[in-house]
Amino acid sequence: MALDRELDKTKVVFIDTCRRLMELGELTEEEYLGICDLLDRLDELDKEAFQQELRRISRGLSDLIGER
Amino acid sequence: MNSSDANQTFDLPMDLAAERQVLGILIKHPALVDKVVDRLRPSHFVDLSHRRIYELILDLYHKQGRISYTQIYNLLVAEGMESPRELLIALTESFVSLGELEPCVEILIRQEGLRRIIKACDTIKALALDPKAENLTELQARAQELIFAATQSNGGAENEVKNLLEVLTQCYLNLLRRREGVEDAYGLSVRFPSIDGMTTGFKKGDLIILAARPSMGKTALLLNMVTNVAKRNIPVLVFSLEMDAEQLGDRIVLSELFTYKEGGQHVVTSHEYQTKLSDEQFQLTQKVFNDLYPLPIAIVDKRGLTVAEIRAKARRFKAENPELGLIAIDYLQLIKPPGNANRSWALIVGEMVRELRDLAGELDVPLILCSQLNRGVESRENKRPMMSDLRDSGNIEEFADVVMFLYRDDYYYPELAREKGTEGLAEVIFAKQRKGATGVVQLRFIKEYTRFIEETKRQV
Repeated sequence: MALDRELDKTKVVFIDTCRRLMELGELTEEEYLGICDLLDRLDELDKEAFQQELRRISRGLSDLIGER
Repeated sequence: MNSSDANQTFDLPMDLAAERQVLGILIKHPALVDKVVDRLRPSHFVDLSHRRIYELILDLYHKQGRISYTQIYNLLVAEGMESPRELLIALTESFVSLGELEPCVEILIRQEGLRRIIKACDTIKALALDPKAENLTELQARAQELIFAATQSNGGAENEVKNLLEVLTQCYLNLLRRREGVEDAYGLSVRFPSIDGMTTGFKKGDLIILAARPSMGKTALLLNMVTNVAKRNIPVLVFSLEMDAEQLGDRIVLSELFTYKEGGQHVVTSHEYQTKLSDEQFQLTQKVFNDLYPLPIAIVDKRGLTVAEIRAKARRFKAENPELGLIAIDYLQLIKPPGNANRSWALIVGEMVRELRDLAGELDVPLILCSQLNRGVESRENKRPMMSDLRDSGNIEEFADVVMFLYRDDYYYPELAREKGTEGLAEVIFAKQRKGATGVVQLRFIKEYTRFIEETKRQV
């Protein structure tokens, strides 16, 4: 449960950060919405699938958070 | 929207932590919305941000959308909240286990109930201290109304303004209950299949007029329905303005005795019941008494009651018996009109009927009101009552949700009925049904036992 809580907290922080990046013009609206959808489907994806999806949605963000 | 707790009044009972716990659990486990949606309303949340989040959860639930932190975050931002980040993080940290949901919901319901009572008391105090206050009787009635609304589990006055989401959520739940065959998903069954078939049960808040000429069997049918309802352990409140309680009691016993036969003969006749019984008959009658003792029927047999007095007694009864399922009043023309009324009889009656319909709505029960028809019916060749027969006595039909007329051919043409074998045949004419079809069903009236039974041929 504690891990779950941390994950939810991270999601909120992450989506908040992404929105700010969108406001700064670093992410497009399409990328932002794709990330929202990806976060909602997080439980259905393993780590590799998540990275792949993230890279597909936003190469820039994927590089920014260090995923290659 | 201000997410801080500072937007709230701190002297009222509230538990902001419990509010966060409930929201946190529902966002994390949306399937649990099903368990709270029918009893937890946005008004249970004091913090306006919490309240709004709960509204968004309900909205997503109703549209079968995904309920998640991401969705709620975006909806809050779309509404102009600068950053819901801290608010939502507080929700993620609010609970440890799912077992916290139920106790927290109970806390929110309880505290909202307390807030309603406090608010009602404040209003009553202000009314009582107002130098321009109404007269004492009106003030007492208003105070009673406020307290009654505040002590209703469904929130009373707070429900006056309902948004479509709340309304449709309730409709959807009703639909599910009907689909699942839950017994009380329909209206209140009176256990006359032909009548229930027409009405699908009397609906809560409805005013049902049962009108007929004298001696047609109005009181008998009313008591039969009342007994049938009470046999399912549903409390019923009867206002009998004509007969006293013992007379009603005897009628109830008699109508039950009708069902006991031996060798095709009734074991106890009406005459025997009212004179002297053999040991065997006495034993059987005692059994009937024992069966009837536990029925939750309450009778008020005071004559000359006004609508205000009926309302006060009904409210008190409902407060003591929250499961109250039916109110029956026998009959309209014996209700005492307000003393200072200087208007036409029709207007006065119309207003009394409207007030009784409001009472049914306020107490959320069906209310059956017997009404006597005037002689106008008898001047026609076809003596079956019509809607226009009610018009002379105020616009009763305007306020009624259901209008039922009781008619027996043998009342007017006994010889002909004997010849045709239609003696005792009664027609229940549904002249108006706001939520259903009109039509006629047949019952058989066993006058000696003041008992109506189903007639095989139902639809005329």
